[in-house]
Amino acid sequence: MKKVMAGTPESMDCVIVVEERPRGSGVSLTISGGERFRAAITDTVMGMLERFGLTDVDVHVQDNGARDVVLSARLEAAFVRYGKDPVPCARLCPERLQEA
Amino acid sequence: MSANDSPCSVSPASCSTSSPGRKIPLHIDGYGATVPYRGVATRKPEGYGRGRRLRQSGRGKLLAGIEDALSASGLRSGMTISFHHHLRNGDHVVNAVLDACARMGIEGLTLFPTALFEVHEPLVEHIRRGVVRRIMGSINGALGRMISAGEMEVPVVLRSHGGRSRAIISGEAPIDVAFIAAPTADRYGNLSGCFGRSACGSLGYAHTDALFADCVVALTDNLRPHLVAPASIPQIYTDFVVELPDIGDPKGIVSGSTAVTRDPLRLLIARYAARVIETSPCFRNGLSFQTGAGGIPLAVTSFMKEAMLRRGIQGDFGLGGITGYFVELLKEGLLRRLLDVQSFDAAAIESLSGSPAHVEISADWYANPWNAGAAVNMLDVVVLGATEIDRNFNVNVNTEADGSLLHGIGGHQDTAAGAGLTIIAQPLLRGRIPCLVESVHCVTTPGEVVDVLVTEYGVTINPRCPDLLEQVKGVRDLPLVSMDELIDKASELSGTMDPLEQQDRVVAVVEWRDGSVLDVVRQLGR
Repeated sequence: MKKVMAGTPESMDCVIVVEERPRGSGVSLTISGGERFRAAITDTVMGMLERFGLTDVDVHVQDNGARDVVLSARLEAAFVRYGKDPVPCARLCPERLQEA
Repeated sequence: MSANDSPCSVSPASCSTSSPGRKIPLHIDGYGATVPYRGVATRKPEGYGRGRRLRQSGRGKLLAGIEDALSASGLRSGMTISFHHHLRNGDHVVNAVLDACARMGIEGLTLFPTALFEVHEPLVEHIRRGVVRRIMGSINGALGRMISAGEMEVPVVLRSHGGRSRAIISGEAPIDVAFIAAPTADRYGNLSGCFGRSACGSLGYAHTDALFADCVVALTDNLRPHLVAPASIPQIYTDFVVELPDIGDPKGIVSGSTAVTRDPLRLLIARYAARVIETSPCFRNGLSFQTGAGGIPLAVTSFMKEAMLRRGIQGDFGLGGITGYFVELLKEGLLRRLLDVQSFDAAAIESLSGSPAHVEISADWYANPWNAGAAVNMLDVVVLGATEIDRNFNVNVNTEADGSLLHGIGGHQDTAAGAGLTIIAQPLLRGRIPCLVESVHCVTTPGEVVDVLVTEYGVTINPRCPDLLEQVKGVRDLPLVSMDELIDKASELSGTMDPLEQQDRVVAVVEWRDGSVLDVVRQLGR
């Protein structure tokens, strides 16, 4: 099973661990730390998963007060290490492509 | 839901609103009837306070152990015992006394410390087993989380240092037995904090307890065969003396945040705060100030020293918790006196033991609002921190972002109320947590006694201080920023916070220094 990590446990940072799950089993997200920001962290992780087209993974976020921009950067690093590139914007937003 | 919106634990008709807009139940189980806060000095003292218990002592004060002292003191279940926190996170006395109480089957005690630290985590078990029923004093760590989750039968009472000594002297909070950790003592109960392996310097917070407790037990790990003089607490107050192998861990006694911050952002905040002080009319010969021991306040002290040297200013006195940075100011003639209620580091302890200009003061002298004049009333400037501050400059230092009880009030209310210029110096965010919010979770110090907020974005002046705003306007390298801008910026950087889940039940009562109730803290969770 593939497993990658990004980030550090320093203050104002976070550690992201992404681990492969059996095909079809979907996404599992666990968050440690991040008190009072669980909903915001969940939104960011789910948005990034969608952007990278990732399904069937365990994502664990160990948060130590990372701001959203830091969390996004750490997620991106982890997903690239996992072997995924971001899905082109047009695929996520077909209506924009049509507008163009 | 912010505390401001929170319902009363009883019907609305049984609530009153304190002056910062907080709903206060008129009666709180385990606390009694409340007097809602109505303003800084609206509650006036009347009549006479508590007298000292008359007693007689022979020569035999020295006892073999804590259990002997508990028996000799007459301590019984349901009584109130007090402690002081000069040994800070190195203290062994609180745990040792409570362990002995548990062994002797003494239960239902009210614990009345000046502060508790992480080292006192074993109290959690004593609370669960009923040895401790009530706490009047600050709590943190595991104890704070436990009480916030509703595991204590009666609410904790949070008082400032001045409020605590007022409550003792007025008779509102009588002490049955005071336990005093004495780094040096003689057989007849003369106590000093300046010498010994557990030296902590000032015993200022213990003075009031020693004067007014019905019985005083000193615990020492440095029993001297000769008379200890000068003594912080003289023999006339000490009933019993117990020698222990150790009363504390020296590493925990003098540790803490006693170094200037090296974080550039915090240094910037300190520089702005020092510039505000230098710009204000307070900055003149005879200046008095208190800055505390955190990284930012120490940096403010350092920048003030530069400014005093540059401008040829000689201050009068430094107050409160004293650090080596204040001792430097004294030695260099930039301050004439240090008034020390708590010595934070080795340099302060050494100075207190040797310099006549470094004076030990009691909590009563330091901050009691109901005496003939506390030292805080003479303060020109105080620099304080905050966990949260809101649009109305109300400050919270009692609860953490997750709503759990974290810190005591310390001298926050007292110095803010007494000082001519009160500055809160605080980064906009701690990690992702905004320090600037619409409404604080708990009001520790009301906005009406806060003059200036300093963050890394600049200086925000309370609209109550138009003169100061005029003085600061246009000063070079001192950006002014509005409260609206700060709150928007904090919200933008942190993102949306999950709402706090809390119940109606009150787990802590925050008293203003005069004993009126400023706010309450409610049980966390569904």
